[in-house]
Amino acid sequence: MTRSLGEFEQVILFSVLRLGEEAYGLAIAEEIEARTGRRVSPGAIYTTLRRLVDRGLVTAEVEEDRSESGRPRKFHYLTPAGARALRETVETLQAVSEGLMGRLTELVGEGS
Amino acid sequence: MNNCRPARVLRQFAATFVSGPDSRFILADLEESYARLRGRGVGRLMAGLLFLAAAVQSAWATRHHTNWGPVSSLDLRLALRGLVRQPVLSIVAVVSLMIGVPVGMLPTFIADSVDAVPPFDQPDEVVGIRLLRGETTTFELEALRNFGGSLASVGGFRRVLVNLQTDDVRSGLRGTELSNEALTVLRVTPAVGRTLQPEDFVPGASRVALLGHSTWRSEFGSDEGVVGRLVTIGGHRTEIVGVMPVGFSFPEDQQLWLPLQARAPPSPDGGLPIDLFARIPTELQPSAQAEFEAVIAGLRARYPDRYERTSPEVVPLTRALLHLPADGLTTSLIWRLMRLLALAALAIACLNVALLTYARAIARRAQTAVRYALGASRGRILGQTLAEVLVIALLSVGAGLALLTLLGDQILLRSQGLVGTLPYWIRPEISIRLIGGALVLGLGSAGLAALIPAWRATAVGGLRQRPFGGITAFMIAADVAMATAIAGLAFGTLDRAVEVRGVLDTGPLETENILGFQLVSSTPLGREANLEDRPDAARIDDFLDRLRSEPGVLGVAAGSHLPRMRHSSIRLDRAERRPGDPEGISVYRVRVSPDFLSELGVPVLQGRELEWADTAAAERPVLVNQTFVDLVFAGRAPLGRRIRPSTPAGEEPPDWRTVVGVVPAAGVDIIEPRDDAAFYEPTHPSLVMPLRVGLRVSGDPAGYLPVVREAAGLAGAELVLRTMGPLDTVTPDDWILIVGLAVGLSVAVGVLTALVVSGLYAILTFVVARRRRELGIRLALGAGRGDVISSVTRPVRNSLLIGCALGTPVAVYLYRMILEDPTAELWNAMVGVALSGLVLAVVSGLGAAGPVRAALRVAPSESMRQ
Repeated sequence: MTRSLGEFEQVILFSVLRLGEEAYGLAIAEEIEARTGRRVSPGAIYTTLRRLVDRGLVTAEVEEDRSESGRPRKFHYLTPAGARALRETVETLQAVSEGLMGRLTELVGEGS
Repeated sequence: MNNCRPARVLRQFAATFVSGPDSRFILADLEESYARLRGRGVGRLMAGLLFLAAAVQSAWATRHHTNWGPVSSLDLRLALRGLVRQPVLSIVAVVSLMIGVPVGMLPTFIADSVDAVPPFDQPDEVVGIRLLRGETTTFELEALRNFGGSLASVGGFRRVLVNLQTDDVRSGLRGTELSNEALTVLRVTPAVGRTLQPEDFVPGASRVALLGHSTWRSEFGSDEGVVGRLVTIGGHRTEIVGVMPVGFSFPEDQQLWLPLQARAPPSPDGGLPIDLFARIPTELQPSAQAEFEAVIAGLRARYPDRYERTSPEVVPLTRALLHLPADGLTTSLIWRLMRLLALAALAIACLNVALLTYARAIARRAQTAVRYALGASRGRILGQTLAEVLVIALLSVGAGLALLTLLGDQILLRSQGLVGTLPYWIRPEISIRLIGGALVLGLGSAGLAALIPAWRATAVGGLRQRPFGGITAFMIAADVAMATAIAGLAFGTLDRAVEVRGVLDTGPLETENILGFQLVSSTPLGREANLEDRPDAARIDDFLDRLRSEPGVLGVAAGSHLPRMRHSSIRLDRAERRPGDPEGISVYRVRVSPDFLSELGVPVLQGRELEWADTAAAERPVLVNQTFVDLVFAGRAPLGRRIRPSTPAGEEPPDWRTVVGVVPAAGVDIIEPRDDAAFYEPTHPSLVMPLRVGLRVSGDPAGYLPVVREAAGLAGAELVLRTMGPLDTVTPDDWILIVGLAVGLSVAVGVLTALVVSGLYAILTFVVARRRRELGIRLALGAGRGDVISSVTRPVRNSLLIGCALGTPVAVYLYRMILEDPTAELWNAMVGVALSGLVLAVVSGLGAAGPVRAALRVAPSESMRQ
């Protein structure tokens, strides 16, 4: 069984999956901010991506001339291992949370 | 895609801190984020700040491998919590840096402000053309035009003061007479009406004028019908032909622009003094400099006396107007000295931040030990300390820049007393460069200052170390020494300010009964030697006579300066120098109407008064004051002795003046009355411009303001009145500086004292906490209160005493230097010792009171149970 993914790692991987060919640092940060409302620095993203690359869940490719401004970009792509780890995470979450959304909603309503 | 990039200083800052194998991608993303913000319309300042914040976060994340962002939030939260728990220490540290950082940045702030780019089209092309050690006139303007080349289209201007008179109102306005290329060079056209045409500049042509926008609004109700209206300006019927755009007040705060109707002078002596400027593409400016040098070289061959010592320069217009060096303010020695002093002030602030950081660190040593036990690394603990310093530095820099923004206008306003009126486009500017510099300075200096104490305090096994080592002792002693020394300076300055304000060193004058004002003639002060040729002479005589005939007027005195004003000083030569006469004397020179002193009620002590015939006498009689006799002639008989202003070697010396009388000191220098040696030289009032007039009256001088205005109006529209008020309210700029300095120094003493108190409090609190058991045992065994107090304060006593010992002689010296009273040595020493004792008492009392009280309250039984 692969080592479980941390919360931030999950968010990063989903963003890489969603962005496809355009998954570089700034785009991932903007995707995360748009989806979660949390602002993340490029430093944090690249640090986590490097860790994921080391674990074989993501690959990276540098393209010097892809951007219009000529600035270098490092694009990341989900590997099959990364996709498997992500799917396991989602399935685990779905399994443990099955049928409980209604109860969660009630509890949130009681607390407000 | 928007290709905006952040300022170079910001990119360099980010590149310094962002490291790691992905640093270039991180930096690229940060720059792209900046470009996108700018593309969305976010301003440079806000986008730059966001860029900085993201760079700092990224740098932190790459070092600590933290995940969720803001990745430093935990450290920052802990830092904020720590700061809140020790509010006194935190506030003192913030205030210390809040003063130190803006003071450190003040020279940069001033340099950035005065280097402001003029608001003209392609402003880098607009240059001033000046002669060092000389002045430019309409003669050089004509010479440059005739030479051709890039300086053929050179503009000129001179400042005038005129009365603008309509049917309803009469007001004195500052205006500018422009040559016929000036507005073309500036590329400015009126918002209403037409610009000046070549035919307007023909001597004798109908007079026209352009109006300033704010005057158009205030005096003419923004009526566009003002174009074509006839008004009286400087006594001449003038047609308003246009209104200049909003905000235009070239060169400083002028509101009228008039064509300079002057014929080409045949020689330099016939030229009108004007400032010259031109529009030259940047790449051609070096060759323009060469052209100007060639023109002056040609003139030098024909007129060696006038041009021999001059040096031509083509410089940016702002620098020409402010008489700054060609390379800018930052190359001047004065600015460099100012910067050194400013950085010294910042160093003092950092020293104290270091002391406070150390105090905070040792106060948390128990907590630090627990963290070590739980596996924290030294770097991690150090990081939290530095995070606190980071928060303090950010708060201080923010507050300091806000203070600079609030006071920026006042700083520039006060500087005008020293450098003259500033060009209208110079406004206090908090530039990106200034913010970046302040951040680097604040963060860098605070971080460096805190590093050593934090390193020392977080050492493993630190609990076994003495909490109060050499560095702390040094810092406390240095702080106390500085506080004592500055207290001497502050007290002396306050003393001097009170002395000047309270004592009217105007001799026999009753300045509260004298109305002072300034008179300017809109007729140029030319070089006619014959008084009858001067059109001013009759008008000014008429004006002064009208005032003399008014009921209640006891005297009317006219001259270059009035008592209590700032006077001009010159170096002096003496004929027949005698043994014992002092060397190298500087004295004040006052050019006056012959009846000046008698009209003010100043009696003659020796010799005779001046007479009108003296203005043309061959021997050039002058009066001197008693201080002049004491300082220049060593108290010996002055009558008949000859003096003259010094001139540089090689220049023709002026005529000798002969002393014919002695008068008492009469307020020439009320700041330094011991140095107010002055001589009074008779002249006709029309040869002095601006002319200062003192109206001595019986009763309230303010009640005579309407009388003066009416007399000026009847004497002619060319006379412009300025700055009127009772003479006893006139205060030289120096006094304002002294008061400001006294207040600033007092604040500095307060801040330094607070810093020492805070540091002492923290250190002694730790000492008491650590020795609680021991103190309990001592008290149980019957130790007296004195013994306990002595034991608790021993670690800091020597530092306090050393600090006082070092600071006291400096305080005495500075106090004596300010008051310059060598006869009061004993008094000076007593003041120094008293100040030293006061600082020691305050520091000891406030800093040690809490911990000492806690020590005395230790319950012996409770401490034995621990």
